[in-house]
Amino acid sequence: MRPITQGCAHWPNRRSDARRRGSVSPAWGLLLSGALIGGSIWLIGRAAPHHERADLRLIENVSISTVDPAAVSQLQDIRVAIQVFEGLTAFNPAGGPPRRGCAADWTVDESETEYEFHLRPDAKWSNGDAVTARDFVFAWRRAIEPGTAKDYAFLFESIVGMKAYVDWRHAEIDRIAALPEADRTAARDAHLAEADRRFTDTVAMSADDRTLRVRLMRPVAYWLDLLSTPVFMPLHEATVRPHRVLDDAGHVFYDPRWMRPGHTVFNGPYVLAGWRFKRSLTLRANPNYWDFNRLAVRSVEILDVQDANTAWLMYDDGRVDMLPSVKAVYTPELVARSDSPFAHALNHTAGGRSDIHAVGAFGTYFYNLNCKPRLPGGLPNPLARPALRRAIALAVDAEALCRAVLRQNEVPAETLIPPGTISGYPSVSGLPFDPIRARRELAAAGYRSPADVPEIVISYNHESNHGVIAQTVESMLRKNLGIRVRTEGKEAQTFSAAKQVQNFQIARASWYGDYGDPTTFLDVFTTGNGNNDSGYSDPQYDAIIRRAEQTDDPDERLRVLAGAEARLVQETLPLLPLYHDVNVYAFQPDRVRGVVLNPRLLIHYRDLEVRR
Amino acid sequence: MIRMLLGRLIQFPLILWAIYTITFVMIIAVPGNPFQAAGRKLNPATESALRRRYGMDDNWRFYASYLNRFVRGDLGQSLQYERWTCNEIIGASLPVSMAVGGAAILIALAGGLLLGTAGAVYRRSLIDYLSLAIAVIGISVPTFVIGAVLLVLFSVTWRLLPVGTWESPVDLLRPALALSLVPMAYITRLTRLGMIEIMSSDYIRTARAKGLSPARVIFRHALPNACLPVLSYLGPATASAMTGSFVVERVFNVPGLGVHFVNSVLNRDQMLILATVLVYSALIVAMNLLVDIAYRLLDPRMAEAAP
Repeated sequence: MRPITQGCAHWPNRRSDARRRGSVSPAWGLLLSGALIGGSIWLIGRAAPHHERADLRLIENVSISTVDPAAVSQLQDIRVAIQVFEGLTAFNPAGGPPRRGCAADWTVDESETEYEFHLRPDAKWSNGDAVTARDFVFAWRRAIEPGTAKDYAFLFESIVGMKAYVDWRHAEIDRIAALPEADRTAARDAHLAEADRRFTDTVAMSADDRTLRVRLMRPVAYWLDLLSTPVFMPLHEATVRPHRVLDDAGHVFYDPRWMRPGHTVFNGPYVLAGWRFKRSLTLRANPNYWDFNRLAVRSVEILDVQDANTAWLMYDDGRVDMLPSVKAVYTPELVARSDSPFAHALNHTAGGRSDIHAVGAFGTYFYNLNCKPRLPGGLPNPLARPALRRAIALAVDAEALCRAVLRQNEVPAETLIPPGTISGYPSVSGLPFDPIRARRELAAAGYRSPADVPEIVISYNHESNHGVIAQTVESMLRKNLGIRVRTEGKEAQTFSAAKQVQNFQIARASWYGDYGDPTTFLDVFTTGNGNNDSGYSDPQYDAIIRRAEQTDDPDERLRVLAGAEARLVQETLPLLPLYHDVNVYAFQPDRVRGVVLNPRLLIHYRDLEVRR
Repeated sequence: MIRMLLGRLIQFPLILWAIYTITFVMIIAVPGNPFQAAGRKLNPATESALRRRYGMDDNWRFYASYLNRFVRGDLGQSLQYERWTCNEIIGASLPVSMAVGGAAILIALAGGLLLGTAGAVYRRSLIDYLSLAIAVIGISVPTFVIGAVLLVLFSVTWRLLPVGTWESPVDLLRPALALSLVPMAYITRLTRLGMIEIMSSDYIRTARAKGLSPARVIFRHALPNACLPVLSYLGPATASAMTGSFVVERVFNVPGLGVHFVNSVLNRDQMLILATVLVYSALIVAMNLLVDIAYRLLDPRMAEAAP
């Protein structure tokens, strides 16, 4: 019996065909599915690490991008760098002067510019080599070399000769880059040989095995605090230097593979034991660390979990011991119903969860008010009038914003520097919320009625809760000042590009301090500072900052700086302070012991003990 | 068949080159700076040094040098994650996405063919409406909702599976399930439509008339023809499932490729954008080729037609 072939192409029209197809397709299907499933299981099995639970497990929401001391600048990277490297001093979570790190002691001369550091004799790299003062010179020089120099290279400029050396290097690189290609390599090699000589001769640093001498251009009150930051940490020259790459103009780069686990050695309490992209980073105790025997936490696993709600569920499920920063959408509710046993946590609700800790951070959320007389398009900028900027600051109720919108115990801000975060600094007060005075300032700005003020645009980047904050400020300005305001959300990179050329009227901003001194905040608003996005240029303000630089008495210096901040937040208002940031930690204080919460949001894992 | 294969092999680099050029123009045109991380402003000297280093100081040179790298199998350097090359990033994340995507397509195929066939055979019955409902849910409910619901059900309500781990093959299940719903919905509808048409055709009536069992008529004679449209859908669907999904990967904390499609653009990580786009395109082209070959094997008429 033969079936009709017409119109049914698939119908088997020969016996052999039928047999072939009949036997083949299900078998193939099964085989293919089997192979796919088996392959999937194999892939995932291969991808999964052999698990051995670390003593301390925690989650970072943002991927760790580098542990290179010269490049580290973001919080999550700093948090790893301070575990694997140890500078001359070490960050002190309890506040006050920094701890001793690699340096056992130090002396400073009367002018407070000449330091002599004596390294502890038992400071060792993880391969057993002694940490020498030359390792510091190598790392510090590497951190300022054009090519390797990153965000914090400028911190070295207070060392005598450093700035001149760097400027000379840049000039030479420009000269060599302009040469015909054939001549460049020879010119570069001659230049680099000269650079070695020049660095030794002109930069005021000298080192033997155990002693490092540094001369500063002027007394730097926070110098010892600076030395605890990642950029001042040492590197083991023998393992890092082979990764050096030169370009034909004399830029110095390092192949980032030097920091792969196993390729480099560390001098901190921990070494980098594993690092898997977008998955986890593991630390293991460094057996050659001078204080190894006191380490209670012998291994740390830092999981990379991008989704904040998933991170919270993982913590709540007991899969990690700690969340260094809770960012789940319901964080305000968690904070509202929690009771932290830490005295200086901001959340205390009797009978609530004891594992949520909101702490004031060393950072401020504010709006930049554009101070340039004209916008890049050529239009006049109404905000160039300081009285209008004051009117805006007086019309915004930062407290209502914190209480009703943010709800994580943020501290309403009147100032740029979070009060009480720098010891000895006399905090100033800014402009209060005062709509009546705001209207008066509006008149002082030369506007007879609010309707005369051109429309003001608040721009922000589409992330986090920036949009809600902008809408709140918008409605406050409308209601309290009667002016026309509009908000404009932008994609992050587009926003940042516009901000840097002052192509905005009001733009969202925030700033975190890098070291325990007011200048870490106040320098931003000096004329020509690369981060001075508001385009603020005030000779009087610059003069106060310079005067502070030349003031020897530390208390007097801080008072002068307070005067500078007062000028910013009471009179000229290139910024509208909104709130001082809060970080929410999650951990059980009786399980993870030894945590000292602090505004810099750093924890030494070597201080901790985890009980299960 | 061989002519078709040859033709495709010639087309393949041309398609990739066209995609490369379009993508390149777009990443150059869009504002932003790959070397500028959030926060502090980059020193111009540092930036020009980095641009020189990666051959990005001139757009034409960048265009030529990246193409040259790509041909040699080097996808370049991530500018955001300086520690990793694009080869390492894609090498680590593509297998994960392929495992999840492959499982998702299998689930979708099994569910979709079954539901679609059942819907066509028992038209206007409860099962037909059920298959319609699943299709509507699959197409209209976004994956971030489905992902969150699965996460809450499995991990919070029933406490069957842990949250956010990527350690055992079981961890594949939820992301695969979440990812499978959209293709399952499409496959269900395509199968149902195809089956309804085929079931009323002459040769099916003949097959029934000669006394074949209903199961044999449906699965042996009708389904293979009815699912030809499914096959053409399957190519791009597999390619897209296997390159991961931003939302599903985030919710279930899967270290796959999907996040890089979004993050590389947000960071203006130009070489990583090019790398992900090119890998994705190559996969789509390859999958389409596989579909064409399968077509020819299943449908002899295609083999006779000119390539």
